[in-house]
Amino acid sequence: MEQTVNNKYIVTGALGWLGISLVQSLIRGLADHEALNTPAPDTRVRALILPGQDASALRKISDRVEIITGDIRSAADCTKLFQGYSGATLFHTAGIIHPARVKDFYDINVQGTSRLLDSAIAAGVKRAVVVSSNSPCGCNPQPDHLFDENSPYHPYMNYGRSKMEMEMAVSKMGKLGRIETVIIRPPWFYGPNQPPRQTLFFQMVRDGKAPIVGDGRNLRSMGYIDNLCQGLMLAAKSEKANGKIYWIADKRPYSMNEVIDTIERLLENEFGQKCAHKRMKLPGFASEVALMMDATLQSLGLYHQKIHVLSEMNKTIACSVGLAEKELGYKPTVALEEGMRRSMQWCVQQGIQF
Amino acid sequence: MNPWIQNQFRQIVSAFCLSFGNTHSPGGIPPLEGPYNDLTEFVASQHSRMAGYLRTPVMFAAIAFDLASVVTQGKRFHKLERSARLRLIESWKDSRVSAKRDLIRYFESLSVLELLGRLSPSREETHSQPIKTGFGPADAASQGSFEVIVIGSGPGGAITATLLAEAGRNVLMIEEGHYLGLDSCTAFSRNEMVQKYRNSGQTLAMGRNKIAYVEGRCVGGGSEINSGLYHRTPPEVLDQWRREYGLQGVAPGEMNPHFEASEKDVSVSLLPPGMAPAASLRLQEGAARMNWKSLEVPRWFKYNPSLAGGGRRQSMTETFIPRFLRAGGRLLSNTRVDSFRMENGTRWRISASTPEGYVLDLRAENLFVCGGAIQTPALLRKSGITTNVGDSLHLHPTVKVIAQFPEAVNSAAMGVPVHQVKEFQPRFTFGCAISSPAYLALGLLDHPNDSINISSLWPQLASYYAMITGTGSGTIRSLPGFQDPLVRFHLTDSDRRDLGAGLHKLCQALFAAGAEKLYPAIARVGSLSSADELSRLPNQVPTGMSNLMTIHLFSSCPMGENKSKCAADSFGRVHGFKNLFVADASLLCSAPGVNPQGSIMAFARRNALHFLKK
Repeated sequence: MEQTVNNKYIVTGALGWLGISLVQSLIRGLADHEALNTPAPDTRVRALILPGQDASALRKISDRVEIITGDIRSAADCTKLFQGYSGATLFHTAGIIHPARVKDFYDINVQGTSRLLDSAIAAGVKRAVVVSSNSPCGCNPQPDHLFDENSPYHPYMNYGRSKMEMEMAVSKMGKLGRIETVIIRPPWFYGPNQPPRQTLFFQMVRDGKAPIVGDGRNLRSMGYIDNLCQGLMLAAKSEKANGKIYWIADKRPYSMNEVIDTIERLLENEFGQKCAHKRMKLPGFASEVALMMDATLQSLGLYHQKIHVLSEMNKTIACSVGLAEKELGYKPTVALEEGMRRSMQWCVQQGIQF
Repeated sequence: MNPWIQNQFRQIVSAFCLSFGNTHSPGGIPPLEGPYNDLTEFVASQHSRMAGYLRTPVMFAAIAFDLASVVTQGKRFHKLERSARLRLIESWKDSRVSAKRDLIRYFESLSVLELLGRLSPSREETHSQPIKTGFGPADAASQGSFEVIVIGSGPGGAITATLLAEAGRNVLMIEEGHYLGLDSCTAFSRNEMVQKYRNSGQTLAMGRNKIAYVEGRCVGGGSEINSGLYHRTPPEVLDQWRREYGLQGVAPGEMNPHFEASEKDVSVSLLPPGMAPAASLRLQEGAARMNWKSLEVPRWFKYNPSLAGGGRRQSMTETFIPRFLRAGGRLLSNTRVDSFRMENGTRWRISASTPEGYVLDLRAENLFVCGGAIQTPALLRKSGITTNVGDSLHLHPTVKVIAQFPEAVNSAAMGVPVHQVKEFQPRFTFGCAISSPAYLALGLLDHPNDSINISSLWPQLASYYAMITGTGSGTIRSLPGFQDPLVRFHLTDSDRRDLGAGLHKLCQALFAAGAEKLYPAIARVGSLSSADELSRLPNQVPTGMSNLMTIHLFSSCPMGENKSKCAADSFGRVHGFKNLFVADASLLCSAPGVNPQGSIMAFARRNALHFLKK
């Protein structure tokens, strides 16, 4: 079928860690993938940011980036976002991961997404590429297990449940044939434009306070931000991708020890940081205690980021990117060491102190 | 079932699949690379299709197994590292407790079947949608009442229904499975098992020696899934049935017209020259060297060397089902008859239901029960008819051996083996079995110490069977609260000896045919490298250590005038009823010692014509 080539894109959460990198990649292209290295000159990106956010970082990227201020919880804002963007592609990266209240998970991740897609359908948007998470599938049942597209839902806490409900709502709209949908499940990501919580993690490693729960051999899939952008952009292009779910991450998962050792090595050898060479070793049950506390808090409608993250520290959360490689032509070129190096270089450029 | 328990079970299945997946995966084939979640899906879905009274015990045994490792390993089995999991699995395989071995074997067999199945070329499964006949449960409900209802569409039911419809009777044929036809999947594949076998192929006769069996559950029944090997009922068997069961009307002159008509109806024919599979010919050569009598068994097959596969396999959906539909018969597939009862002393009232929840209440002047040797007695017993019903199940217990030859004897296009060694009939028969990589791998599970790379070696391997006539018998009982009946079979010591002797002779023939290694389906015997080692085989197959199976089941509602033994009269009418009939393998009075489908067809034809003459 002859496709009407339309180089209009809409990015929600455009000032987020992933969103801003995606806007950059759409405008400038991704040098290390032959299908994505030369963006069409008429590429236009409409970027949704929250009221009160500073859009200057987006404006600096290109004058082909148009800023729309709004909230996906507002139907009027959603309608405004898609005006005149019939046939465009929507990248939905907005979502909430560490909220103050549990209710926000559902208001933003589930209802917000449904409302956004309703408006997109009304405006004639061709395809929605929706960013989900590893959380709908929970933790791997075995230490050597990898998730793939056949893995059943087993959501981890309220975040996972909200993303699961979001995926189900998106798939349902796709099945009704009203819009093309692709769901992307990235795990923990890293790279330039990182939020302060990630910089804090570097500091903890340096100061010997990085928590290792259990033996630290549990695997975690991580996604370097440009790898994720590559996956998202390929998912937007591939005809085969319609209606599918893809895991997008680095080529292979890393053990927690490997992640922390790599950060420490880079900080000390390349960024002149004096490291304590210690770990905050916690027994495996520390995570289980944190898990119980997290669950108790969440059942009360409360959310505590550090407890939540600690509860995940000894879990295996690893996936296979095999289907994306096969069907999308996904080629993750940056791996842990180089990705972390680029994150640290970005911090230095931004004047962020470790 | 509690979702927490189900999730635990699923994680355990995942742990097994991940362990087996890495062990059995033949190298270098991209689709077999991890992460095996599709394998977990397959195994979990197979488990969910088991008979209820097996499904729950398997689930709880797995959970107990998982928890038990906390004591020895400090962690639940499914949380262990791969190497620790594999060690634990090995120790359970060698356990003296048969439940432990059986559990591991169950998961391992399913994993092997799925993984090795991917080595066989499989045609695009484009026809797996059921064929539409334009007649559904709503149509049956609105018509409500029929002159004849036939339950089951295997050879017994299809032939009965067709002949009655062609004689102008108003016939409804009800089938539990789907109307799929031969092109919905590759023959003898894993997909066929899922689509067309009862409980997806997971059916088991319980007893000291468990015997795995299979039943077709689709329009056409067993004829859709078997090899189509054809034998007439041996005259001495008919004579025995006449003497012991008071079966009338089975003199050769009376039976031969029915055999001849059936042979014509389904194109029973011998292979054109040069088409016999090498593995099948090997057995014939071995037998010839031993001076044993062997023969090529005719099949129902339309040979045409210009077609792919050498022609077109025949089955009920190729022959009688279309004839039935042309004659105006109504076919209601995907509908299960739950029970029936007499109304006003004259008509039958039948309760049936569909998986979608459609409930039917139908009436029939005459009722033919043709569900096969297990389902027919189960349905009769559920409906309160129990005299000599389901008390005398017979089957052909079968033991297999895999032979390794110095050169290729097997290929993806091997086709169906057709030679049988009949020297020792009726005590036992040998033949060559379906030898796809998946089936070979299943057979080799008993030989973990011979590390065999099936993905490269399988062309040199073929599977053979020794099938005995047997003297044991079994029962079929419906269990309250469960849909599937409990099948039990008692293998006698003499059966165990016959199986031992049959296996021994079969191995002799295979060594004579040039086999360099044999892998019998008996645990802990090990492989045999020469005829000198045959003495290692046990004289009788051991209880619990042998993997026995059968594809021939019958005699659960024997026919004849001897009312102390028989459920039905000489023409299939159930004793004590005017308008209730059985027409399937259940009627055969005892094990015929040969592939039974020729007997089923001839008796179905004979009995249907007898019914029409009245």
